[in-house]
Amino acid sequence: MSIRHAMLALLAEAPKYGLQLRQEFEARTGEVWPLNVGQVYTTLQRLEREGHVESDDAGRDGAQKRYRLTAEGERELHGWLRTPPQAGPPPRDELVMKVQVAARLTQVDVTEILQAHRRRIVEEMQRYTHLKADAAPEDVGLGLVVDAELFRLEAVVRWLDAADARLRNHPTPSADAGTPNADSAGTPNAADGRVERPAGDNTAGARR
Amino acid sequence: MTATPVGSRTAARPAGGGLPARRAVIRWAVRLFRREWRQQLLAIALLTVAVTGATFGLAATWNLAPSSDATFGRADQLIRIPGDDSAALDARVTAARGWFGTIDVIGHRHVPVPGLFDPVDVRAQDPAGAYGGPMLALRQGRYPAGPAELAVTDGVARALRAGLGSRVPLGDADRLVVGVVENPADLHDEFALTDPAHADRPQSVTVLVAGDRDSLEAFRRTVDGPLVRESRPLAERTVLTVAALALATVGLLLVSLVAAAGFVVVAQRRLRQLGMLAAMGATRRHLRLVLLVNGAAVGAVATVCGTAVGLAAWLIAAGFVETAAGHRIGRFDLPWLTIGAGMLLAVVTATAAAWWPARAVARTPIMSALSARPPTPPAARRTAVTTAALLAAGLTALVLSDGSNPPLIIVGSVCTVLGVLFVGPLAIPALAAARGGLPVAVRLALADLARYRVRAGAALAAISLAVGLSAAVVVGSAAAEHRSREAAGLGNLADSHLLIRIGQPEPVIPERTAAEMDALQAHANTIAATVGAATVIPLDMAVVAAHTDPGREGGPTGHPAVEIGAPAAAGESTTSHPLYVVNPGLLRLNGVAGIAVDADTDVLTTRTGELALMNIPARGVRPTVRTLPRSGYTGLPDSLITPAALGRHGWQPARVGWFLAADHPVTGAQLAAAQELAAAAGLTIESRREQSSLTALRTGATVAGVLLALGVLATTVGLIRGEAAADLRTLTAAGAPRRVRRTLTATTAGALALLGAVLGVAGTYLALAGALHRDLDPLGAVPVAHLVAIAGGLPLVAAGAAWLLAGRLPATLSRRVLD
Amino acid sequence: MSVVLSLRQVSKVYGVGAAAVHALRAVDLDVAAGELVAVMGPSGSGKSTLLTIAGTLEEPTAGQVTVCGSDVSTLSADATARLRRRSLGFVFQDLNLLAGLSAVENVALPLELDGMAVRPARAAALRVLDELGLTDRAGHFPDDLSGGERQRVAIARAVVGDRRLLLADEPTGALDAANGEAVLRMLRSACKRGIAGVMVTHDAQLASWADRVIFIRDGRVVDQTAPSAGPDALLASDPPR
Repeated sequence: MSIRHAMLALLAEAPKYGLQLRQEFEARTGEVWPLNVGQVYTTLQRLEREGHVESDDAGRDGAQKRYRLTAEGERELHGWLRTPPQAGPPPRDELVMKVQVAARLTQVDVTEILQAHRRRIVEEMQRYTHLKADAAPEDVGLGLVVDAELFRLEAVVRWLDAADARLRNHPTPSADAGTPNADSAGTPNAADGRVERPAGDNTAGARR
Repeated sequence: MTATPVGSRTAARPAGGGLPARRAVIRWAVRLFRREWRQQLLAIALLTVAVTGATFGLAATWNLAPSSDATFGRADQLIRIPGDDSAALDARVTAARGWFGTIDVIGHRHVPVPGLFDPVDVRAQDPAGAYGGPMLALRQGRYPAGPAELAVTDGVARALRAGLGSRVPLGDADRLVVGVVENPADLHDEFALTDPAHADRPQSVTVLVAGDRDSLEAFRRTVDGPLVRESRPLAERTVLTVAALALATVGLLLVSLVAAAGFVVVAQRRLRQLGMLAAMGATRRHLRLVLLVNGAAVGAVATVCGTAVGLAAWLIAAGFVETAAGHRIGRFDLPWLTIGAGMLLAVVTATAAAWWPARAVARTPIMSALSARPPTPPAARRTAVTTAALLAAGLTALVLSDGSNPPLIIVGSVCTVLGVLFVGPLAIPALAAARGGLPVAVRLALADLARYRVRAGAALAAISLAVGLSAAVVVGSAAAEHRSREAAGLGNLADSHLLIRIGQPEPVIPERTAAEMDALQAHANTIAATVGAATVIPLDMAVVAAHTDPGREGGPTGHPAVEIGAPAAAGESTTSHPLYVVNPGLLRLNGVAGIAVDADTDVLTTRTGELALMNIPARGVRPTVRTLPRSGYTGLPDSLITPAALGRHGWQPARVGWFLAADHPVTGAQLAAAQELAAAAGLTIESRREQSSLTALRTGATVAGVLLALGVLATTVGLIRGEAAADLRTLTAAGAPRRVRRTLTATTAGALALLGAVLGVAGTYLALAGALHRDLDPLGAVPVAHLVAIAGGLPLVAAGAAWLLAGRLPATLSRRVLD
Repeated sequence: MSVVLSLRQVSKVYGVGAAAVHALRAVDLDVAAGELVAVMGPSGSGKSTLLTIAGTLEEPTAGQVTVCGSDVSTLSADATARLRRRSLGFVFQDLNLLAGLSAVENVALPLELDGMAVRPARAAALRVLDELGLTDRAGHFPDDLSGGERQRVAIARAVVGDRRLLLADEPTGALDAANGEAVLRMLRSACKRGIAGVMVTHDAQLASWADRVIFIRDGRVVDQTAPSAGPDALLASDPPR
């Protein structure tokens, strides 16, 4: 989330002091994204430079300054709300890379790797969920942020599940992959691989 | 967690949940029934029809059964005293009055009426008598008072061609008809009523008394000489009603079998919810209770509706059946207790019908129930063993019952029917196994029948039951008719027959001159011409010329005519019947035209038992008898004496009358003209007496049976349609032409109908043969047309209807019949 | 905390011979009072079998199941029924409620089955519904309730009375996110009050409501999450990228 636009959104409600902005930001994001004071003021200064906000009292320390949204800033905020989130080529996903690699390594049980990641992510999700569960249902801001994280993490778990199923159903190592490990894995296990596979029975079935 | 009851309170609760648990389960079951009763409309409708039939039947049996009130009034016992000796008569009546206190005396005189075969019973009865009330009612005018007045029944009025206000010659004096009366308990009881205070000397007297049999026997011991006495039979209509109830029970049980098939579907539909209830901690007993309550609810609704409809139908019909019943009917005089018992029975049988599905559901593993997987059908071998056991038990019970022990008949019929119904699921695979070489659609249909054995079995059971019921009605009524014909149920004479007797039909034959005989013969011929009789058979009797008897009731003296006596009333008394001299016409009339009669045969007769010749000086003369086939008519000259016998005893033949047979029914006008002629010529005519036959009732029963069968058939067709719908959808999706769909459905329906018809008819015959095993003759009278219609027509109609209906694409709704 | 449910080396085999399917293989599991445990695994992993065996709806082929201190294999059919209505509550994915009974009657039913008279059972049911915010729905019939309300009523029925163990099979399977969350909040709060809860699911979001997540695969327990860390841990660690 862009801190810049969060500041603009907070100022759209009413003119606010710098300290107040930091507190409200943290409160509304459920303290998931802690901000330090420096980040707040760098952002505000930049916004002021760009003419999106203006301060009452230019002579005083930043913490006591009261910031107000300009017409320019309001336009910027509304434009941002309607702009789709970052499109373009997906970022290189570290987890996908890890599984790709694990699938080709004979000495590694890819299922176990998948499970390790799954467990870690579910633990992560548990923490978020418990945060949400212990908060009041009226705390909408927290709910929004936590849900966003949860859905993102859930997507990862679902990818892990899908990868698991895909590796199960196509355990044969791909010949065109041409990695030396695939050749050394020996006989392709022709079975449907329902239950247990030898650890070395690797595959490059999971592809992006 | 929240309403945390203290541990001790929990422990104090009953282990099985007790009454509160049962109440909660019943509440739920009743709610479900209220929500989903439409799905069980078929079972409700069938049971309602059965209860309606039972209620109407009970009301009809109770009211149509002849009542002993006709002869006993309100009294318990009656004494008949002959009036030959008036002093003795008065002494006896006085003694009876002294012994019993209140008595009711009814005097009888049998006064011959010119031209009428039967004399008129002139009764001297006090309308306000202590006990005779129920035997007498005034329809018109008033009761006679004084010596010159008379009241008559409508039958007597017709016979005498008299009406209110006319004078009729009766005996020696004319009397004025002042009223029309009847015996409300027996409308066929025809008599004339006179004022007892001014009656002629009675020929016999009936004394009605109260008290039990012992008291009567005690009185009898105080009297010298014979005393004819009779006790009111034990409430015979109660017995009849109970028998009707037993019959209704059988019907209810059978209908319940069909209902049970419906309950299986209901149980299947509720399986998930029942699984949920079990997961919540309901015991098996609770699960059973849910379906049993449903069964009871179906029974209760059907009972209330059925009873209401049955009673309403009775109240409407009561007015119309009085003529058939032969007595007045009090609409609201109903066997309430028995009807109540019938209602209770209906609820109980419906509940019992739910027992089997309830048990099956309670035994289903909870997980199977939660996923709505039906229980696996029992193994075929087990079904076969059950079937054999049921059939054996049922037939044994029927054989042991001899057709007369109601409990055994009920047990036997139910077991046999159950057995036959269980044959269905076994017969289906057999049918499917024989499918090789048939077109693919037919093979597919038969294979599917075998695959859905349980469902098809239910449909088959319903069809067999319907067919069995109608076959039972058809075969049973044919057998009953055969029996009643045997028991002279055809009446005295056919409606094309007339029997003319010279003078009164008495066994004293006056001597007549040849001229007189010629004149009588001429009159007889005139009568024959009047009624258009093609055949005139002369009737001669053997007279003992050596003896002369005084004529009865002032008739001319004559020679005694030989009669034949047959044992009656279990050999305790003898009834005598006229004995006519053999001639070719009589032989033809008796269906043995032209037989050669042995010289040593004395008598040819249809009667059996210890026969003796009567009205002759000698006693205990046992004739050599040759048996004739029965005609079924009581008044036909069917006892013949051979000329050889006449010769042996030295008796003379004497003309006593003629038998006229027309080739058409004699009309009322012809009969009236003939009677007129006969009265003028001193002849007496016996014609067909109209029977109080219950043909109408039997037809009604047949119609009801057929309607029930149709109802069940409609159910079954619904079942078949539902059964076939899924396959049809698949086939249609696979692009099967309409013809294949038609063939498939028609085969399914036809095969089920054929199997059902065969099983139903076979089962009926099996059951009836078991019950009537002592005398299988009645079953020989096969109503071929009906049975062919059932066994051949039903499958054809079913297949044809299915062929026509299958042209339409199956509606999605039809699938829900079974789901 | 006391252990409410204990599975020891529990195995379940359906069918025989070549057609035999091993739904569970030597599963061990302990669930303590106040704990909500999620059993997570793909379809056909045996998680539902685990639940039904824990709930005495099925018997294990081998192993020992102890519920509230009694060894289930030693109990008669009626005694397990009594155990179910006194100590166990089920919440299935759907069709939990009995048609024809209002919400409060549905909730009161287990108490009545256990022999409690109508009035006290109804009062207890109303109290539970009140706590779960369903007071105004008490008189409604299942047909008139929304999917979420139905599941919440089902939970009320599963916890009413002196229940110790709540078993849920995909309790939010047919619900949207908002209704699902309401149901899970309720489950969690029920467990916080001292009931042991077991919930099977394939959904990670659902499982994340649990204090402990057991991973099951091919009938075996293969992994479980660490005992719950507080939300503070979030601040310490970076969200994974």
